[in-house]
Amino acid sequence: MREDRFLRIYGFLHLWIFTAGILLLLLHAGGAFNLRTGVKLLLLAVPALALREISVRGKKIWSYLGVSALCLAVFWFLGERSWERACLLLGVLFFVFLFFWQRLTDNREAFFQPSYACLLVFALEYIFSLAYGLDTLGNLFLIFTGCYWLLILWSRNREHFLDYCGDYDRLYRFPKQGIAWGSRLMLIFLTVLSVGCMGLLPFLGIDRGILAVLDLIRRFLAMLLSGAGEETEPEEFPAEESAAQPMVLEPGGEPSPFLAILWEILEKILILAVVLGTAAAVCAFLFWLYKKYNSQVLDNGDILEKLETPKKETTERLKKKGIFVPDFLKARTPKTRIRRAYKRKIEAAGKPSVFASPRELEDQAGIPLGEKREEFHRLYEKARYGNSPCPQEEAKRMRELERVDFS
Amino acid sequence: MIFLLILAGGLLARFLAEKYYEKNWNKRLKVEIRFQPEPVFQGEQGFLTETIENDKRLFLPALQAGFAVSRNLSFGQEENTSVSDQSYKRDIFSVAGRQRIIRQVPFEAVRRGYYEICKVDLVTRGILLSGEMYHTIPCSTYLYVYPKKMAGEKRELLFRRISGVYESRKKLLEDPFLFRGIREYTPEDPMNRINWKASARSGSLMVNQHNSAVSGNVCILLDVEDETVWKYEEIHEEGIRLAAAVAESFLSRGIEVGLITNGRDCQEKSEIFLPGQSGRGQREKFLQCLARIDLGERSRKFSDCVAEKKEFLLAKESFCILITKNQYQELEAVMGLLGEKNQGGLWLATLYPEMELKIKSRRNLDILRWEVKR
Repeated sequence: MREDRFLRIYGFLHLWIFTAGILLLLLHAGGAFNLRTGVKLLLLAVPALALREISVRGKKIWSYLGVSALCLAVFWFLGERSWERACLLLGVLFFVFLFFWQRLTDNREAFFQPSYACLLVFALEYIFSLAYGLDTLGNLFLIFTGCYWLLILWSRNREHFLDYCGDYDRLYRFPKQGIAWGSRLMLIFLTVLSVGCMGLLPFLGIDRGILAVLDLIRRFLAMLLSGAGEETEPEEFPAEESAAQPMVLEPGGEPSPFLAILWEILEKILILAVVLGTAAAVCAFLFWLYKKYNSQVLDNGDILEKLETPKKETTERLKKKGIFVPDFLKARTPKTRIRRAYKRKIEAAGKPSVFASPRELEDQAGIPLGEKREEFHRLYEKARYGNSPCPQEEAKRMRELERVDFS
Repeated sequence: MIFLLILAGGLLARFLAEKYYEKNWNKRLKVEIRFQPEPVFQGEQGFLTETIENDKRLFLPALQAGFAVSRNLSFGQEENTSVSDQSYKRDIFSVAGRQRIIRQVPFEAVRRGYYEICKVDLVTRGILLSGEMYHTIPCSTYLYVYPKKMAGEKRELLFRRISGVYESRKKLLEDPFLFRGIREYTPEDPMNRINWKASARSGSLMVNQHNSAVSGNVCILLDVEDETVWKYEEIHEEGIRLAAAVAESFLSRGIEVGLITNGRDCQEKSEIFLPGQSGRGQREKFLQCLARIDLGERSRKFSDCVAEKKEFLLAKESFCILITKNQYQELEAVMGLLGEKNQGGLWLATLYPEMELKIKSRRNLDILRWEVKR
């Protein structure tokens, strides 16, 4: 097993969340759930850590059995009621058997990595809490699910990072620190995005919309199966679902609850956006300072340089993307006008080759040889390659030549 | 439902991030591999510059750039190279947004030749360093590795003899209209060379000196043909080195040097021919021609090759220096003819110590033996 520090932390977190979730449900079922029990559940991380370390490092079975007995005794005394005791001991016993099994099979990864399959357990726990109307517990399971999802992401990222380093670490000038830094930064972005999406999707009320659509389909199917002529009575929606219905504005009446909820949502989104925007701006400023400081450094024998994009390039790029560029930012020199006129004339006959010289371009555009072509060519070459500035007259002349039909 | 939406949110975030990365990682990403602009001589060290330019904000935590180059350029143990039919070099970079990374890689030119790099393969990992994405960027850079420079006492001795043969040829036919200078009389000088006015002024007998009437240009004939299936690569390489050294020696004295060989160009697969010229540009051209000779290609009989160019050589009255290991009759005949008509020639036989030199020197054709160590 890769004894990586981060993977071990993720493994313990995975074990704890998984065990705590099940125990929470059991405690709630036995009516033994309260704040103090919650704290005791947090303490379950201690036997998990102790038992695993001893199973990995200990040479004799007695040390493991001794610590197991000690943990069981401590949690026996921590439990106040019999059901609570039973639940806590169950948790400790699970760890005892798990690490014992790991030692026996010499498989240190057995159930020590976050996996997608465990999400199924959280789903069952959530369904159970919904079925019994345990709202607080249900919300807690939702938080656990979100955390567990992030844990899976972090764990996968770390595993892939270690695999990558394992494959290429022997390479000369392998930028391990750079990759670790970049990978962490990427993970932070993904975590923020995931949290945002996980928070936003339920918050947007999509579930209500989906329910409404499902209901519509159900009614449509029922109508089809029972015959088209049958009149169906409008169904009464429960109070909490009324917000999903289209708003009905009565003159002089109260504003629709849908509108009120929408406004509330928008307000929260706006606040969130402002907070996130400020945080992003602060981060960007700090990052800019960091980059400015490290604009050219030597790292691992390589020269690292910061790239500066000229303003002209930026405006051209924006223009290509169809973003409005104000007139004062555009270059309106005679040289630019001459070059644009030339480009238009050449492109009028089709897309030219990228590697052709001006003469070849003119041939490709089918411009016949002659005095006018020579002038056309000379004006362009002066604007494109010459060092001297072009007068306005030349730009005007080029514009005239652009309109001339050379054939 | 909320449970599913949370999972959907997580999935959506990952999907969006991965798609964005997949679509944008190779945009505004420039990778350039450049050999040093100056050519190197065989056995010397050169530099290869790798430049990675990421002109966007998206950073690439792990970017692998790989390319293939001839195995005759040795990058050393530490420089991430696997050698099979070619040297496959790969380097890993961690590129931040708006960053340029320049890496210089030293190498040793093991053999002479013309080396090119045509493309760079880029590989990067996905957002969680999982999965691989590929992109190939065309690239065009080349390097000439010139033949190894010759040095040592043996070389000096040979060059003195070659110069001697060349100079003695010039004295055979003096042009009475090309006045070179005046020197003191020696008993070997004929009476009609005495400059009476100069003798009267100086008080001792003085004679006129004249320049040669023969052309000063030299043509190196390089034979790289193997008569049998047995390959004599070492001998041919030594011949190429000799040709380079001889050409450099003559060109440094301002003498025109040309090249005729049956060796084929490594790129165009045609026989190499360089007309005689002098100057620094000619030195570069000459060495480039030698660098481009591909000994792996089959060469045609050199006597045929020389016979084809005979008229040209006779017209230019070139002093021909043949460098070969072959000693067959047709070649001897054609060289004899060139030597006779052009008032001199030189046959430089590149042989292993145990090989016998069968041909003998004659009037207007000197034979020199150059032993090649195994």
